[in-house]
Amino acid sequence: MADLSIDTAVTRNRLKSLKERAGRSWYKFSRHSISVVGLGIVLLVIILAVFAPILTPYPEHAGAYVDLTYGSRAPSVEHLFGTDTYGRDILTRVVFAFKPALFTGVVVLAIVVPIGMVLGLFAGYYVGRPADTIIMRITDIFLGLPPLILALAVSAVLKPSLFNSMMAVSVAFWPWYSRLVYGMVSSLRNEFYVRSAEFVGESTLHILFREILPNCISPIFTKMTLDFGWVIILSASLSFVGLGEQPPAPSLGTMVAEGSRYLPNQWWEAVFPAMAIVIIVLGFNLLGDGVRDMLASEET
Amino acid sequence: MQLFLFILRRLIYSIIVIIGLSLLIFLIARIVPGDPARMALGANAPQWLIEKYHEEMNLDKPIAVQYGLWLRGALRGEFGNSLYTKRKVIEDIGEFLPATVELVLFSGLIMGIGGVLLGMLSAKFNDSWVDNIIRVFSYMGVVTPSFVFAIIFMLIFGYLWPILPAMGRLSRGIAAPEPVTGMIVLDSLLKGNFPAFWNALKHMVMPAFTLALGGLSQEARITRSSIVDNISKDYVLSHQSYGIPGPSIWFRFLLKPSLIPTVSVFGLDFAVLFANAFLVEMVFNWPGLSRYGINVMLQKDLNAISAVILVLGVIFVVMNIIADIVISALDPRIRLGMAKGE
Repeated sequence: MADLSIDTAVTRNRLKSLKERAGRSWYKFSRHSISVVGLGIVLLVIILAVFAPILTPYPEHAGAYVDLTYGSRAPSVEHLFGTDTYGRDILTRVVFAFKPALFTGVVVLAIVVPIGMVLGLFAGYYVGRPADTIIMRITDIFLGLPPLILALAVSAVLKPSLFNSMMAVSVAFWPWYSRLVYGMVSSLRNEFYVRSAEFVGESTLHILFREILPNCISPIFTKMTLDFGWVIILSASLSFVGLGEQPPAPSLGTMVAEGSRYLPNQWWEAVFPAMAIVIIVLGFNLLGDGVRDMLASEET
Repeated sequence: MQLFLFILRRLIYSIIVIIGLSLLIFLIARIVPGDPARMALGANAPQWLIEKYHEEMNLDKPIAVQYGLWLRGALRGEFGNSLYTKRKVIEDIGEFLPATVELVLFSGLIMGIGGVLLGMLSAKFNDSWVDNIIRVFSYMGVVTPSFVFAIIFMLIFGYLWPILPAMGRLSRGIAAPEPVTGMIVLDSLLKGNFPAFWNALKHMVMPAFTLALGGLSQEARITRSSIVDNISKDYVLSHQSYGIPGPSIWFRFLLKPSLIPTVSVFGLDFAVLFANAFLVEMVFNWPGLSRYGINVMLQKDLNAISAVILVLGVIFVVMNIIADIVISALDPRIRLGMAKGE
């Protein structure tokens, strides 16, 4: 009986401190109100992406749908963003395109971050040894080209599809993470707690993942939120040139490319998907800046 | 001597990067799932054509030999024939590269001058409405992909308020000057052909500006913060206390140290212009290397793809060397550090 009450007291205390910490983080995050705007945009985009079939006026227009009687209509009350040449509602297609865009961001980061992190950890810990030289020289080669050209080069030889464009974007992004982690680890390895873990004979894996890695998490996390927008830009650029998601699947880059063929008369076909890209990326960048403020001040 | 050592180190290092890059491009192009010949020629190509392609591309030899042969060809500028244009790839590159270089040079000029001016303006009127407008502008510049700018500018200045031509390098009916450099603006000036010069220049404005915006915003942000950092330093205060007039302090003492970060970012951004040209050339129908690159990528023309990527890679690496040299000339601390290999 007594034990139970102590337990609940402990849990209550933990909950309380968790609440306090969350509150403090939120305060730091929301000090710049623009970060909250970013968070709002991101949440809105996620909600729209998830509930696209319910929220959009013409969910059947998301795929291969043709109704030429409604082709190329200017924005109106029925079609807020107008219709494309096949008569599909552009608003619907823009909202449906949010999901692959977000999905790309998640998948690419899920591939790139662990790879870059592990390589950076090993190279940074064995700094000056062959492992460092090999890993970091390879990283440098990848950093030797702008990400867009690298991604284009990879997707150029693969069959154009959403999956392959994700792979192409991943090839362009991992070296940035291995370099980031490498930089942190090569200085952290001389810290006292790492030295003492080595001294008591902890395994290398324990030292890398339990001692060093937790201290690298917040810069990695900040970079992830900031990179989310770049990943979306890069994959939209690939589909813009025709090397990404193929029609009729809705994709923002493809829609802009198709629409730009009908400029200037049917301007809405390109302009609204283009604006959607800008808004998503803006949202993630503002959010990323907020996360950086939040985590940076936590350290000082 | 130190500068020489530094450049030497940098050169050796770049050669390693370029060799690695060539290997990477080669591997991506060769270890593609599926037969490259099938991909290039289509699923219905007859067997003899496939075999001929294999022979031409040395696809029947071991992979290491293939790479050796490919690299030897690449060093001589022999990348084989393009399936897309049916010509030698190197001829295609010779034809299309000048248009891209011309576009990127103009764009770089706009980016550098515009970015520094905006950054100075923003720092001068720190925290006023001028500063805020410039900051919002540069934030938008950073988050907007260049093809979006391209479409918006084209709509506004090409159609809504048609003051600039929206497509290509020259208007129909205006003869291109005889190629000297292949850059029409420069060639027409050299030949004294002013109508063509003016026309080509007008065609240049929109694509170059579009391409410049991303980097320009970044330069403006960096210049601003660097000047704002430096302006509160003691040496500026002491110059002020000697009664040296403001403009003189800005241009003689403040600008040089403040521009070091800008220059290093400019070097990177300038090279990135070659990448973003892929997106801008598509929209403005600019007959440059990037548009050629996209076309060969969509056609799975492996010879041409690897050549385009390699050329761009070399350009990127060279740009980085130049940027490093310029920075080391501006900042003796970096020069000393790098010669020692730090």
